[in-house]
Amino acid sequence: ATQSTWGFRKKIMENKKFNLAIFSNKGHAAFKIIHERNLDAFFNYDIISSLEEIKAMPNPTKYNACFVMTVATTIKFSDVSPMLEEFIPKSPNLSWIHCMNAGIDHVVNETLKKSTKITLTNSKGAYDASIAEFVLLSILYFSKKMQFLMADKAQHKFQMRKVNHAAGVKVGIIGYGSIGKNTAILLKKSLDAKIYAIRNTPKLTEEDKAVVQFMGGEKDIPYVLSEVDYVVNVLPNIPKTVKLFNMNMFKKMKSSAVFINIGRGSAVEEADLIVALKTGVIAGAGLDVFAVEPLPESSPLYDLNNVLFSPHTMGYVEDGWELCISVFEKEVKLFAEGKPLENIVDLNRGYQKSVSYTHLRAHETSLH
Amino acid sequence: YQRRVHGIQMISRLGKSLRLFSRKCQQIGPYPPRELMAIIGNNPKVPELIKKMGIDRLITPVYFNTEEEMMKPDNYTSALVVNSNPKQIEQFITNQKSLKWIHSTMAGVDWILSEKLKTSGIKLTNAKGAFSHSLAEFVLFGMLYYAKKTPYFNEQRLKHTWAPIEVDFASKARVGIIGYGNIGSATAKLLKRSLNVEIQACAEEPTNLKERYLNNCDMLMDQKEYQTILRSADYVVGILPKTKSTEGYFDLKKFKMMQKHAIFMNIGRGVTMVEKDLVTALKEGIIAGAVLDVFPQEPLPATSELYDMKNVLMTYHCADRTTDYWERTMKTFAKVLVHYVETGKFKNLINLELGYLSLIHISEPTRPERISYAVFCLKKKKKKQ
Repeated sequence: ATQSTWGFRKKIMENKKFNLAIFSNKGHAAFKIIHERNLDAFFNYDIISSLEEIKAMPNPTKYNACFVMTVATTIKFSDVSPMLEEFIPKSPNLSWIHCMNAGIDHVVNETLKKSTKITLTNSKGAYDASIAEFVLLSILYFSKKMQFLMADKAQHKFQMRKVNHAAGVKVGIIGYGSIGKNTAILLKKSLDAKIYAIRNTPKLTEEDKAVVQFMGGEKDIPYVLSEVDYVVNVLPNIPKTVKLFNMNMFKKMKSSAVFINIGRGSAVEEADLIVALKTGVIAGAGLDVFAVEPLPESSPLYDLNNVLFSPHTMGYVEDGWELCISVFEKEVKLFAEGKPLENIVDLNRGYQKSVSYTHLRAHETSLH
Repeated sequence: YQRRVHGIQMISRLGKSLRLFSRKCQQIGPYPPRELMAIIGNNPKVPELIKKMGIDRLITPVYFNTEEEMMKPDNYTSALVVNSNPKQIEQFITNQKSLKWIHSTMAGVDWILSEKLKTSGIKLTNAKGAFSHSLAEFVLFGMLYYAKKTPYFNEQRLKHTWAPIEVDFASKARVGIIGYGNIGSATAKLLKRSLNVEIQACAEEPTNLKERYLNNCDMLMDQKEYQTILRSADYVVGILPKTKSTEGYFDLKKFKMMQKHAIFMNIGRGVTMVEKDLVTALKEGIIAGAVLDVFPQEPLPATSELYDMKNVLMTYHCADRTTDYWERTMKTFAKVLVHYVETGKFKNLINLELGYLSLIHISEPTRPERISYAVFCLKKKKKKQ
């Protein structure tokens, strides 16, 4: 009797499972964690590795949800948009796309914006801790004048130089979201840094007041740039922020200031940055992201000794899938129960939704 | 003592404001005669700061243009060492007969110590605490540098290649401090506050250390148990002073006890490590990298193999040479001076037998004996009964 009821229950459970398409290559490390956490009790999944596989699919497909993995996979950022362009029209049952990254500029395209049924979520918070440590490293690196000391080392020169304190530095965080907030908290804890934050809708909550000294909007960017010793760009890639940091902005910064980019390379006019670094308009740069990735071999940024270089990898820690899959797990459980999802991205704005749901599209409160 | 007792009785009757006024009067007291202090070494900032901070109200500084001037016997009762060399110091001590106190503007005093100094009865104080925070920041930097695989990415940058690999969390590391003193304590405090890493340390006779030093690290053990630290730490920080027992402390045997992915940091004295053994350990992969601020020979000769090694982070004994270096050390000197003038006792006193500033074997207590007000009240009550 127990066997037959179990079989019956299993059938019901299987019917309740939703169909998930995962854009990834087959051997990805995240799958192990998905199995360990028994997330495949909630969904049936298929791994899709290329555009050809999507083209070969029957129309309509069965998929309710899609998980776009572009971290440590064979799928590049530039592959995602064409895959979705092919996939979305074929999938009338698709109501949710989850992105493994925090930034979603490679996922959002016209087809997605036009669709009225699809909700996009991202992995907000999964990479904050690691990226914040990179910002702390950059501040310490340039405070201790490592760009000069490493050049001396290459020339076998033993020369004592004056270094700066990292404690009490002024740091400007342009784009104060989840990553910005966690970076500010780490800098406050370790260096007692003075934080000047910029965000689209400047509002200081009680939590923020303990960490942030000044909170401003778009108009306050020139003021912040002229005040601080370190400028950290955490802005998403949206039309308003494209090429925001040009020679005009670099000239507003102090000549001893350092520019740290952990947002998107699109916010920087790269040619101007190169000139600013070469001619001493700013003292140095800590770059994790670039306008074109991978950075082409011919780029002059490789040759600059006052650049702390990272190939868009400072968010990704060894065995760090736990955090990322935790975010995914939360969303999966909400989706399976038909509740509204967390970490929804506002497709019109191009980044996280604000707390008030006034811009919510009708279908985003109920998903089935 | 009698004056203080009377003062307290008066205060208990007249209230808080008088208590404060009375204490100030006690502090100013009869104005002491100014110390005749020889300034050994030249730096333009020192006379500037002495005037600015009002230190010349308590000392009469004597500056020298030539070495001959300095060596002429005179009535100097104290000396401030700005920069010098061991021979000069020894000769100065032999020539000056009334010298009672030497203050060093650096934390390390191994080059000032000599047999002559030990037998002369002169007290030696140093700039304890002036540079501890700068060095703590340097250790934090060294940890993050290797956790985020900076040497690898720098190499890729020079080759114009884009080769991402995953990085590590610095906050998941375990740090071992060998030579836990003021600098070790400040380092532990900063690392705990910023990354909340696990910290183990070893020192001589740790059970006698004051509580404020113990609170900063997770496990403090005797220096004989260095093996526990070396075998389990991801980052080993050496903050040893130069003494007979610490010369060549970090040799191949100790490097072999460390883990293969461990990073060795030296912010104490360069002679405490054997350079040849370190180079071997790095080349053969016995340890993963090194962060060095001090070297056995300074300046390190251009022929040294350390310059060409990619997994060595070098600063040229300038990790603590911040832009406010002289302000910091003169502030510490002012503290020691004021304390000496007021009480006749020395803070930051170097234990000449051990050869460094021991936090435990303090040669003389720094606080004058005084009975607390509470204890006095109790005694008073007993008398009434």
